[in-house]
Amino acid sequence: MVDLTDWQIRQVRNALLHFYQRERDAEGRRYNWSTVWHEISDYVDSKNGTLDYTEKHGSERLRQFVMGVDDPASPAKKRYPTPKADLLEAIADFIVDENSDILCREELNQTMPSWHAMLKLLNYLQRKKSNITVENPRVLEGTYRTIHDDGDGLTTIRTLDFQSATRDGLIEVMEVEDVYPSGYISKINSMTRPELAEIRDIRYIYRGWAVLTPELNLSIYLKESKAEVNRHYFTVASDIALKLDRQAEIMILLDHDYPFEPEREEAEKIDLFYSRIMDQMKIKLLPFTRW
Amino acid sequence: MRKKDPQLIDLPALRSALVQAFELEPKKVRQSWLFSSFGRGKPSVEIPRAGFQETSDIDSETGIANNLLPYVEEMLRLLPEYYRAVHTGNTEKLKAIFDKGFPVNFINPVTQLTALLSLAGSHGKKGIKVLLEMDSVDYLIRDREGRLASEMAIMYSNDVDMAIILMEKEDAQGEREGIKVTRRPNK
Repeated sequence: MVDLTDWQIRQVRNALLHFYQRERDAEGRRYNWSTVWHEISDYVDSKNGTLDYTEKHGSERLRQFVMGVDDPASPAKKRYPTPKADLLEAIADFIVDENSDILCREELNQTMPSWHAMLKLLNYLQRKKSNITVENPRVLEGTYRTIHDDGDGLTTIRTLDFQSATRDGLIEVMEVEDVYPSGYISKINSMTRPELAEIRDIRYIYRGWAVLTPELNLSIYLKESKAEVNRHYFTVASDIALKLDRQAEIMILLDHDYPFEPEREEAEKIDLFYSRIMDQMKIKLLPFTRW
Repeated sequence: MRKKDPQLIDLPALRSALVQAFELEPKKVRQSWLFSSFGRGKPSVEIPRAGFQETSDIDSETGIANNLLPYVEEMLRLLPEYYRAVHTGNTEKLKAIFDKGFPVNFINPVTQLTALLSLAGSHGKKGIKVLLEMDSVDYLIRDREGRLASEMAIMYSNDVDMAIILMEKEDAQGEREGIKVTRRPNK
């Protein structure tokens, strides 16, 4: 894998950021850049390859690539130095080989960026006379989570990752939906990845985009990787407007995929249908909190 | 996050998919419907031998052979339970729905995925184990892009162990049926 385009490098950067944010060690602690470096280094070793970096140097290259460094020429901006070819190739291979749920090779090699349509939507939603804005939508970047026990023996965890927000409000989103038997829920935060994989019933990966409107609504459009089923979220409530310079702590999102249908007896009794839907709405409002 | 069952929207497509799934059931399973008390007090279905749509009366509303209608209606009733079992990948729910006779090779007309394809592409290792114990699973059904379950396991679940087990099953079925099993080359 050589000569990655700018778009591909951006994808690799986002994927590595997601890996860094998602992973936990055996004690449930977040990964640091040294841990990430060890994972990549071990992967390269397993392929009989070599990376000529010390741990300190290598982990710092990774950190700068993903988190950026201050740009002396422009204090408000950051630069994201691209690693040398051998390290960049190792990162990309590590992601697509070992973490294809984050980014698979097919996605990395796709030539048509999927964000063009979202940019058009964002441009349409902009207002010329908007007073209230998030100073920099990057403050919304991060991980948000909701846990739901269905009372039928299953617990669903949805984890939303907001990444690579642009200044005009286009945000790349990835969602992981995991279903576990309810009995394990209290132990999940302290379990390792292999242990979690053993008890997990199923995992769905959604990818897509969020657009931040001038009204501070987040409209999120996601597509499931395998069957390409669409999922939409809209902010019903959030503290985005209260913290324009900080990450939101809570977002209550309306979860929507398919419309409800009237049952046979409800077809002519709109009140009955409406009443049932209002009851159902409780399970469609999901409280995502910062994780 | 219980789901309303969206696929109920397109009833004709569902009925057609259920008829197709019934035809993929092994002969012994199809015949078992003849002798069991069908569903909840419904009459037994007279299983057509061959070309049943030509020889049986066709229901004018659904276009399905009359003697197959009770089967289709019974399976339609079980669909929400089937969707939930496959969507959650939960082993107890999967065993329960297939024990009730829901056809394991049903192809969801919306996603074009069987339970096997869906679980293989969604890290559904535990659910796959339930299917591996069943005789009637068709391992050579492909998704709309022509991919087998083993390919889904690699592509979307990154699970080499699961993929190898599925490949063995696919190859064994191909050999039994005289079909050359092909897979897409890795890019």
